[in-house]
Amino acid sequence: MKDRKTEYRSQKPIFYLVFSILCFLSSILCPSFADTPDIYLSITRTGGSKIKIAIPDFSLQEGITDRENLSSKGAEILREDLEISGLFKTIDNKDILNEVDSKDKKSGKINFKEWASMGTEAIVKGHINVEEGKFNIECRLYDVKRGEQITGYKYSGDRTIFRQMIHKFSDEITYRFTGEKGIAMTMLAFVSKATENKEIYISDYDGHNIRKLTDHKSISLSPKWSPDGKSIVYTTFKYGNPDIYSINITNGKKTPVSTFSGMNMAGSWSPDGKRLAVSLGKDGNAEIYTMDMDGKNLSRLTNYRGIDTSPAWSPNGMEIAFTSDKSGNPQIYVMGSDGANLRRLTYQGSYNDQPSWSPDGNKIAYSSLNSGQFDIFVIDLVGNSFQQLTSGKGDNQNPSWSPDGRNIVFSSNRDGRYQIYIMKSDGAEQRKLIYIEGGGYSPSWSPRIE
Amino acid sequence: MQKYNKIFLVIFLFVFSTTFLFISCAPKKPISVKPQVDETTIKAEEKGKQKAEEEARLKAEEEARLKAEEEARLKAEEEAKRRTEEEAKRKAYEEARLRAKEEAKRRAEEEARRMVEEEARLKAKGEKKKIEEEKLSAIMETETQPLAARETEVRTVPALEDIYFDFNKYDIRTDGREILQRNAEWLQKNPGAKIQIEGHCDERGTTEYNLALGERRAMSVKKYLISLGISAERLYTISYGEELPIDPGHNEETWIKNRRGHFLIIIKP
Repeated sequence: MKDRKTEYRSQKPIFYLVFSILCFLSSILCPSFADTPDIYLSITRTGGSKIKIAIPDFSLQEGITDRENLSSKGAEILREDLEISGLFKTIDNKDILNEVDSKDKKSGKINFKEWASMGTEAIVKGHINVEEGKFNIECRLYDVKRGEQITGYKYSGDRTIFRQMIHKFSDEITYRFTGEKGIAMTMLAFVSKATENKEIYISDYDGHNIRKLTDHKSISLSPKWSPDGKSIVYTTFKYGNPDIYSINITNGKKTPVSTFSGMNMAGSWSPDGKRLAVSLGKDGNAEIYTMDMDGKNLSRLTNYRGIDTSPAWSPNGMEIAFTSDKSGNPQIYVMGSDGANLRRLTYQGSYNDQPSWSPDGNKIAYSSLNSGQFDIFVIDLVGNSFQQLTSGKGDNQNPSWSPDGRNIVFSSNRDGRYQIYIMKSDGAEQRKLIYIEGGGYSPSWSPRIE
Repeated sequence: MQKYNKIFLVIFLFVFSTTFLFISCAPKKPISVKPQVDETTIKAEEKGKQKAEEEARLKAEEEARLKAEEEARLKAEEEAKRRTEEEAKRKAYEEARLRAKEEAKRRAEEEARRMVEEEARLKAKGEKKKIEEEKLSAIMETETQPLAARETEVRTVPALEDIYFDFNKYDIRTDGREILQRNAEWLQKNPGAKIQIEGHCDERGTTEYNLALGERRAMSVKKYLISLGISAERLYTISYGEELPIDPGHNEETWIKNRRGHFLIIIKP
């Protein structure tokens, strides 16, 4: 027995040495193993230049007929996602893309030099196959300069979540290059009169996959996402009075939140999701209150014989912006979330409303009546300046920020009826995001949904 | 063997700790540092060039400001003098008025006291006075609170006319007062009738604000009818904001029609 022990002891230092060398080697060869650097930052750049990325059409499992054109659809969804992110420039010449890609396929490997000659810094290759009615999508992201894979994922699921699977990989790409979670899995809520009545609708963040959420056959207004992205509060006239209800977006279950006599208008959730800031008419004129999710523990924040509406909780939970006609016409004010330290924010124009905080809390977007029509403005709380984002024909209202602060969704009637539009947070790249018969109003951008 | 054991342990620890340091420091450097450096250098250069120019500008502006301020001061002083004189006159006048009023009040109060005292002597002590106070406060409360007519059936009555409001306003106009007078008379002739007052807005303005504005309009109408002697319990209110325009057009002609207070009588319950 003694001999064995000594033998074992004598082997121990060798074991340590081998182990330490292994550790050292593995850390050099595969740094992700030891440190797990999720963020891939080899492509360094200065300023706001975009990352050039090539996304050829996805390849398909042999023997599948692509009736729905999924191979090009998949690539298209990903391209659009990355364009919306504002961080990437996708190569849009499809002929060249597919030509180089087919060369890759023939040679059985990725010809990085040829991709580099197109000026691309990254490539995404996707492959789709079908297994027992289930879709499998394999996506790989490559660094062209280094000639190696950065990351790869396989997603599988039902045909109905084809878009979501690709959105998920888009978020992965954004995360790898910026260290910041993407927004491709977020959603929008809005109001439409596509049926005879105004109802609440939701869609993917890119305007696809529109679903009608309520069926009250009444008037339903002003949807606002909960901070966990699981439910939406809104105001409905269904029971004879404008009441606030909450609806769970997965099972459609509705629960009454605030049903006082007079107007009940949902404004905004506290960032921790525990309290709701609302505008209530129960005292004879609209006042700002905060309440628990069951309408209990009311706390009155304003006390003024006029109109106080549209409360918006700041991202740090400390302040609430709202609209008041104290000065004789609607203007935006900010107060502490306990109602103290009131200060007026807007002085320009005779009608400013619908304050919406940027996710970093540094800016507030709002709607302003500007020479006979509404336009969206942004006030910079740090620099104490303001900027007009929309102009030209028609009204623009209801700004709501994307969770990454890079985009603003809003409603506009520039083409006739109100529809949902999107722009960069500096007002660039304005375009119609959703066209829906019956119009689109009051958009609200969801938080990131886990 | 034990000596070797220790030496190997030391080597292992050394190698392990250096690799750990290497790993933890290496990857984050390039992006986080580079862009920041570039930004600061650009800013610094621009600042240097602009400083001299800005200083010159600022001096000139300040001189101009000082002049303007002096002129403004002189004017302001003159105006202030005038104002104080005017105010003094007004104050004197108002004080005289107040004195007269106060005297009148005192007399009235004294009379009231005598009356109360006499009544108290005749009846139980202080009861009547208390009851009167309670009544008043009850009216004040219902005057300002909305009454929601949930799950009710309503219908229009030709006798009850709509009234109209100015853009973004909720005060009753003079033409509205005449209409409300007539509506109040109808209500007095039909003492069993309960009505729903709807506040409406034109399409301009935001959804949320218009809902609040419509409510203020309905409440203004309710208050006015109460002042004409109609009981608050007969007056239900609701705001539809901009949601139910009577005319779907997009011009001033239609907006005028849509900014309205509308009346319905409640059939059930």
